[in-house]
Formats: sequence, C-alpha cells, structure tokens
Amino acid sequence: MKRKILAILAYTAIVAVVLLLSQCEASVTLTTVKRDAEYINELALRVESEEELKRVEKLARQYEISYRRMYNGAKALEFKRLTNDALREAGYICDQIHAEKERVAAMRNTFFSSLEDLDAAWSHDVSSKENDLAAIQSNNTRIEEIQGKIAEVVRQSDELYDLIIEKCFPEDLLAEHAALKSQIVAFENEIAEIENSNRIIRLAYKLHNIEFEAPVVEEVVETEVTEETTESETAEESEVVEE
Amino acid sequence: MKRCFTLLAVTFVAASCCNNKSEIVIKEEEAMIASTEKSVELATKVIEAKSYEEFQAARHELEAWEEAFRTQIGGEDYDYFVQTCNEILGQI
Repeated sequence: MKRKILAILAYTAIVAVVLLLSQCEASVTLTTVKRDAEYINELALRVESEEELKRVEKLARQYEISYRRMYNGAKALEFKRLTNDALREAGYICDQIHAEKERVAAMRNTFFSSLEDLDAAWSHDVSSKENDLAAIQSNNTRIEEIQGKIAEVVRQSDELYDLIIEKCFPEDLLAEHAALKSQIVAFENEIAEIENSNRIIRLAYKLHNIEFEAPVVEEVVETEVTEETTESETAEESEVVEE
Repeated sequence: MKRCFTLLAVTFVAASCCNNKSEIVIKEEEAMIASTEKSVELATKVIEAKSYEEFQAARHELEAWEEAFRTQIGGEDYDYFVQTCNEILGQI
C-alpha cells in the first residue's frame, strides 16, 4: 500500500514538473496589451533576417496565447490587431532582403563562371584543330538530336494539356504534365552545357589568336512550320464551313 | 633567453610581412572611385592577358579585389564593381 502511494506521488510529481517546465518555456510576462504590442512592434522594426522574423512571430504568438489563457479572447484579438501591421511589414522587408541576396548571388555567380570559362579556355589544348572541329561537329549533332526530343516532348505536353482541360484538371495528369515540363528543362540544360563547351573551344582559339571557323548549329524552325500548317489548315476549314 | 626572443621577433616580422602582402584595404571615402577604376583596370587585364600565367595573375588580383569590396564596402559600390567586371568579361 505504502509503495503504491509513493509511486502515485512520484508520478504526480513528475507530471507536475513536466507541466511546469512546458509552461515556463511557453509563458511570457504580460504587462498591458498596448505595451506588449509596442514591444513586439519594436522588435519587428529591427528584423533583418528570416530567422529573426520567425523568432519575433513566435514571441507574438506566445503573447497572444497567454492573453487568451490569462484573460479572454478579446484581449488576444486586440494584441493581434496591434501587432499585425508591424509583423506584415517585417515580412515584406524580409522578402526584399531575400530578393536582394539572390540578386547579388546571381551577379557573383556570373562573375566567377566568366573567370572559370576563361580559365578553361586558357587550359584547353589548341594543338589539334581537326579534333576540336570534330568535337564541335559531334556536339552540334547531339544538340540537334536533343532539339528533336524537345519538340517531341513539347508536342506530348500540349496534347496532354488539352486532355487536362477536357477532364477538368485531374491531379495525376497535372503531375504527368509537370514531369514533361521538367524533362524539357533537363534537355535545355543539357543543350546549354554542350553549347558552353563549344564556346570554350572557340574562346581558346580566340585567346591564342588562332583562326578557327567552327560549324554552327542550324536553327530549328519546326515549331514555326507546324504553326503555319495549323493556321493554313484552320483557314481551309473555315473556308469549307463558309461554303 | 636571447635566442628565444630573437626567434620570436623573426617569426613576428615574417608573419606581419605575409599578412601585408595579401591584404587590400579600401577606404570608404575612396570606394566609389576605386570601384570604377579597379573594375575596369583589372577586368581589362584579365581579358587582355597574353598567356595563361598572365591570366592567372590577373584573375587572382581581380578576385582579391572582389573579396575586399564585398567584405569591406558592400552595397552599391560592390554592385558597381561586379557589374562592370561582368560587362567587360562578357565582351570576350
């Protein structure tokens, strides 16, 4: 019996300690709604990163919850109303900072990749013009193959999109469409990579002042041709209708 | 004891010499002019290099100045420096 009582007491004590700890972690010291809101607004004004914004938003939520628990919903709503604008503004500033960081990163990326390309061109062996011409020729053939594949995937994607509209945007078809789109992006990236390697070979000869006339990939005008045919087809169809 | 001090002094002088060699200091009041002049001068040096060694030396110098502008100045002057370099490097 004694043991049972002791066990119950110990269990109750543990639960109480855990509850107290969780309470301590989440609780904030409340003063007045206006003063607490001003404190949060001041913190929001100083936000300069997403981490800081998250911290301030978490603190504001804790205040709101505490007001709801200690007083009533009206005070919590009042607190939220007084802090909403400042937090929204802080979020907007955070977005701007993020966009600015991305812009600078893109700029730096261009800077370093230009230097890397020049380094690769200087390191390129220009002793065999024939080999380089053959490499560019083979790269161009590969580009043409990929362009053909892209045209095929674009056709499939267009057909699928018509079907998606017809069936009122089912999720499985939308996922399939997204997969086709990412396939196109992957093909385009592959082309960009091959074109860059061609560019580096040309640049290497330019840097060494050696004449080098490499063949260029012919522009694919397939899409225009198909557009023209569809236009002429529709014109013919309308003529038939008129008759 | 004397030897120990001599050794310490030599190490200190060597360390300070190494440090001075790679350090670029940009004064804030001169940052605008420096970003204009240095970007054109160094990027042109990179694209007009006549050998790989010359290119590498110019590249290292340009990268060191980019780092100095980024860490010491930042903002619009750093933007101008990198943008001008990108324009010149893109010409080749």
